[in-house]
Amino acid sequence: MVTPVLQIEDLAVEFTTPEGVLRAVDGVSYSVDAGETLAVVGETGSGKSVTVLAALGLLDAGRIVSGRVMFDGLDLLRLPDKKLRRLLGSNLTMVFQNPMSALNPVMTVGRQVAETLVVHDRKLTNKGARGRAIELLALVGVPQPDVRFNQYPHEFSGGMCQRVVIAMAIANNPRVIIADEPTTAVDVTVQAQLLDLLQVAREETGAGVVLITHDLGVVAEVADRVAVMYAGRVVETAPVRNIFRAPQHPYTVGLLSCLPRLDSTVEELVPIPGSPANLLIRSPGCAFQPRCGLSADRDICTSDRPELAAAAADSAAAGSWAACHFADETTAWSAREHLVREPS
Amino acid sequence: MGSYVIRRFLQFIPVVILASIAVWAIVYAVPGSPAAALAGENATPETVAAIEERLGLNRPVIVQYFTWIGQAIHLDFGNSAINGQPVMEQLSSRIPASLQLALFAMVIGLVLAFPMGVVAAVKPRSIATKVINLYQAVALAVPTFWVGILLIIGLSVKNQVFPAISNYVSIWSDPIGAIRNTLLPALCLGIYISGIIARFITASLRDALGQDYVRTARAKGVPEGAVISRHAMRNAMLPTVTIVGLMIGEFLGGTVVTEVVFSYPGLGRMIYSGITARDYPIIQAAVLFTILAFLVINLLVDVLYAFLDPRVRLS
Repeated sequence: MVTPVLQIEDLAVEFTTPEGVLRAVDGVSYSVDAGETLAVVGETGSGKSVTVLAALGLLDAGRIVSGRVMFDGLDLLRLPDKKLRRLLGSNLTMVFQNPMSALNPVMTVGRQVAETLVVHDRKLTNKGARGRAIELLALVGVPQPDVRFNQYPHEFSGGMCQRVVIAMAIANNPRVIIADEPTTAVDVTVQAQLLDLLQVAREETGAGVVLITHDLGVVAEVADRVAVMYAGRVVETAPVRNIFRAPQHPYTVGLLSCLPRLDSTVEELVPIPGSPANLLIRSPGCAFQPRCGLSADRDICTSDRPELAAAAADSAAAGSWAACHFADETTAWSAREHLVREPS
Repeated sequence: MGSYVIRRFLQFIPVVILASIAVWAIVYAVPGSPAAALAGENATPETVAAIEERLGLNRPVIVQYFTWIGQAIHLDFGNSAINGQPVMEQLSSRIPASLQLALFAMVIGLVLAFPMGVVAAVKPRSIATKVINLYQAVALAVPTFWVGILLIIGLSVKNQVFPAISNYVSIWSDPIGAIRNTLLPALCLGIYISGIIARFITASLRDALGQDYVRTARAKGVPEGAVISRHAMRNAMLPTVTIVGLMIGEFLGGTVVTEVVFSYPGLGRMIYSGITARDYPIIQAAVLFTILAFLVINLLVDVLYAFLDPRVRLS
């Protein structure tokens, strides 16, 4: 049994808005092992990004209501700022969604990479940091790194900027890399290269990777395990194979049925009915119930909130955990509704 | 960078030409002939004609302009219509006085504004920020002449720390005398602009602190002090430089009210007395200098901008 390198337990985050208190993250728990890629999927506003930003103390607004974030026997949420800062950028690093704005426009790219090194190694000389930064730029595939070192972010393409951000993320041999939609803002052709680069980075450093994405294609390509989030909660967590073969939560089924696939004959793509949950209204039951085809207005769905429960060990979904009262019916239901297509 | 400066400098020329025409045309902006205005109400037509002859006002308009501009290029703005002394002589004694006052005021303004702006941006909900906001509102709302009068009453009349009438003493020849004479009017202006500049610093620093690159810096483990100074501040400086430049430009053209309150011999008071006496050569020269000073300051701001923001250099 591998012990997880980063473990988020029962994290809850609230924002105070003019309309009331909004619970963006509502008791989220997941963990990532060393050398593993955990994909966190869900639509915009499901709390994917807020969860990790809160975990690393990078949230600008909002309030952490409860939870623990365990790293190396330490609870990051209760760590003094100074100690947390020593972990950030060295043991725990992040790759952000928008590479162009993630880099400081008035500082050379090289200095920004070198800064990551110097901040965590006071003994490093400027010359040493420069040399190491150039090595890192070369490692992530920036051509002519010694020339590029002195250039500014606006002289780089989006894909190149993201390579620089990745260089900063792997500079100090991290144990956890959190990538928040790292390929959303770049060209499709560059996406694959960046994902490869993240895989290489994971192998080089042996870090656990948390990959936040709403792109199930990306999930299929790089993830070992998947956590599906809806309305600030994890509704299903499973090995990647199970997610595509035997999804246990109706929301996961919904996500898959609106994904075009080349490996099966498709009649049409089925959107999930309704709109994303309003986080200002907290129902006592399942947040997905109003949009759920499986619920069929059964009372328990509106009265009791389902907790994550393991799928039967002898089923196709062994190893999956889903937060649905009727998870055992999902496979039959989705087959009946032709929602999930078996590869032909 | 060099070609950028040259390009910006070339853009000057049409502006200067247009400005010189506008300044020269001041003479004609007043109803009636300027000569009649100078000669007074009871003057005979012969006197008016003599004045016209003396000032060259009876020649064709185009000739008048080119004569004036030709002399102006050689820094000859003619003689004062009132006391007959060369305008350039007066101007060259007033410019350093105004420059010194402007720089004193700007230093005071920046020294006051910077800490206030940063504190208000970094700790928006603190008590210190509430005090700062109150100070800014007062600094902006209270007229400078009133602050000036209060300062004179408090520090010159009652306590006699500073002279009530400020003379121009060069900082190079007598630093202490210069401070004694320039501090009160400079404080007056400095307090006023500190409110404006602090607001700019607060707004742009707060904006910069909300940017993605600041989050990246924090995620790299950069200490908060360096996040503010190294990452946010340099980006926040861009709008601040603009407003500071504009204000220096404005001060160089003289600060009429403050200079009059303190009887400070700067450009502002020269323009003020020039206008009341209808001394056109004086007004023309002073206004033209103001425009040129403004343009030069603007160029400096743009160069500084290019230095601070690498993105400007390309475009």
